[in-house]
Amino acid sequence: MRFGIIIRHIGNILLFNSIFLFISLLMAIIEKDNSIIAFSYTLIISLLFGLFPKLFVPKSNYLTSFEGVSVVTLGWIITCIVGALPFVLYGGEFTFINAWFETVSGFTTTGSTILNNIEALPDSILFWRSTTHWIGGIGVILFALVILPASNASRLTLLNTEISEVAKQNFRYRAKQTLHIIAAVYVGLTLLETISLTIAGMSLFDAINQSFATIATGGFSTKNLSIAGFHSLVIEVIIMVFMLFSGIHFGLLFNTISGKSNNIFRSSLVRWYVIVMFSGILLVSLKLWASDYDSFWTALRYASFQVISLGTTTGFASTDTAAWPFFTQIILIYFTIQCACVGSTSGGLKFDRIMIFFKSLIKQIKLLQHPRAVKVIKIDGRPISEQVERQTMIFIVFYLFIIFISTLLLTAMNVDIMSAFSATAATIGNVGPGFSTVSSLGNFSTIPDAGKFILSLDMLLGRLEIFGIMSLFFIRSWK
Amino acid sequence: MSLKLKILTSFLLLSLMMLVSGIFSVYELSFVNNKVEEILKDNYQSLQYASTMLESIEKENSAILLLLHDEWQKANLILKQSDSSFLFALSKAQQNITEKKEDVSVQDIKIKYAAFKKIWQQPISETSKANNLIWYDTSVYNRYIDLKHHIKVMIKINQQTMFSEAQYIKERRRRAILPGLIAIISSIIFSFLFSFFISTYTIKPLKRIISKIRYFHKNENFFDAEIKTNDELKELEEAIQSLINELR
Repeated sequence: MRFGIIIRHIGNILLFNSIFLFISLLMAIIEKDNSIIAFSYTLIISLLFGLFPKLFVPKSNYLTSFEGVSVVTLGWIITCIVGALPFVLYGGEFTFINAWFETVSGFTTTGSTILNNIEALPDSILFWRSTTHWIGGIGVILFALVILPASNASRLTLLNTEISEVAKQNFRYRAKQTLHIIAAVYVGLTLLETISLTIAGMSLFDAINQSFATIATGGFSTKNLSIAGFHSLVIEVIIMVFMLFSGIHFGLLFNTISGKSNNIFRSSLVRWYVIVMFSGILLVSLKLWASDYDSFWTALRYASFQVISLGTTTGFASTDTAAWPFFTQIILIYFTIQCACVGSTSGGLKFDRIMIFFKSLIKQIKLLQHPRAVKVIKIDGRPISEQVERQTMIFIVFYLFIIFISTLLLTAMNVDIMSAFSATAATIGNVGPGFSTVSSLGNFSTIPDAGKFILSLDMLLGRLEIFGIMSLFFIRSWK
Repeated sequence: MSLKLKILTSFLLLSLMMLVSGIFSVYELSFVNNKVEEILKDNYQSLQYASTMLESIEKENSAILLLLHDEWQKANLILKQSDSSFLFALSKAQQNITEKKEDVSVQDIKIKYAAFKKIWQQPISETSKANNLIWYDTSVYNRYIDLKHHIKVMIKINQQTMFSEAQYIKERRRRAILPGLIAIISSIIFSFLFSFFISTYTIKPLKRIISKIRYFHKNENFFDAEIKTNDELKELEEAIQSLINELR
């Protein structure tokens, strides 16, 4: 294993982040706020450790599987450490652990926050906060797809779990082309949403920040009341539409735009994803209409936003769900665990795996009836191999196991059960808000520091699809 | 890039980081220093003047009670001294107005003191007011308490400012220390990385060249030390290669 090459690639990641640090610094200088030193110093550190490896380590044309996994995993961790420096140096509500939590939440596009007063922060800090989402949303896809396909893809568990069978079909391009497609869709959606929100009456600054958070399915808002703080139905509708798009496979979106046959209209995955989403919206709307709201349309408005927000793992809020009936909270928790499609910027189990799970369940029942039958799961006419099926099952079980362990640890720290469970599900799913003390308009400031650290680990595990980080601990088996 | 330039650039980068960290820390520390000076000069001084004024009016109040008991000689002496001390502190406080609403507060104190002073400027001993506690209670005590309240308002304004400035200083102190702390940690990491790079991309290639030469000496095979860096080590490998070719 060539540590030098790994360090050089991580340096490239830091140099990429430096661009956005520089923009944040410019904002701080223009606004003359007290975060100039924080950004200047972080920029220098980032440039130092980004450029230094280039002096000694020559370029390499290939990466082994383990080197690729190391680059992606360590790159994320180091990016979060450096990304936390502006917050740490700024101070205020940002203690060391709070800054780490907020940064990991940003880069993993979770959107959980420890801040009690977001609007008290200077614009440069708010911009950096949103930027961590935008980098993180494209980061894992960008870097994983740039680096990993250069190695022996058949040995990569990470590639198999990151990209579903449908996704593989849609990414039947070379790595560079795939990257361009994803970047084009990502940047295109961001621009489109920024323009739409500006037309809808948001300031350009707020529009950019909210767009960063929407397309990355992150959820960091510039307002204390999240999207509810804008008091605009039009803005909520625009954000709902873009949240839905961001939860769909980017390859399918690109194919739809470019007129290819394998598009969102012909994909059964997308079809079922939308059906499940709308079923959830309907159930929640009806319950809210029956218990909380006089008007069905008001209930529908809030239900739609919250279901789509959690279902796409964005985490924006248009109302406080802590006061909602338990039935609706359970439905929202389901969406917190299911999340959106593979190949999007959302986290969580992913809808594809849920589909594979249920199809596998049906297959097992049929095999019980006809033990000698040969049954193959298919999605959109493409067969799913037994290896993928097995990996999906193990992933789901391990995912739920991590939720259980983290919930247990949090309750040991005297966090109430609903907060502990929903916080864990929300962080490992990269959703953001949970319920009770960590609800949609609440925050994670009341969670003990040790709990915040555990939740930040959950965020990283969720974003890196668990096996990425775990495989680093099994160094011997790579040989 | 030559080895010399690589090593030099590395140290330059490290020095730059240390320098910047030092500049930031010094800047923040000097800010903290200035703020502390400001607090001592402005707010603490104002508190001192307010304390003097409080002490003066307490003495004047005691002197009025002495006047009520016909001890006018002792009372007049106390009143003269206290009045002088109060007016001195008040004039200093007027010159030291630094906070919002402090000017209003000082003006109020001036007006209230003038009203309080009027009481003891008029004869008290050997008049109907002598030994008249009811008169004291209705005419003197209320004004005394009112004046005291206004002085305490001035104290509160300055105390609140001191408290918020202290919080701000605490924050800036943290910002002064942190760059230094981060610089220390970064330097340690940098040192480890530097040692690793020197070992991997300078020492190991040198050792590889030596072992390949020894191997070539025994077996006379093709010489290739697999040097990938574009520096003096590559030049050395090429020079040895040329030498071998020439000797052949």
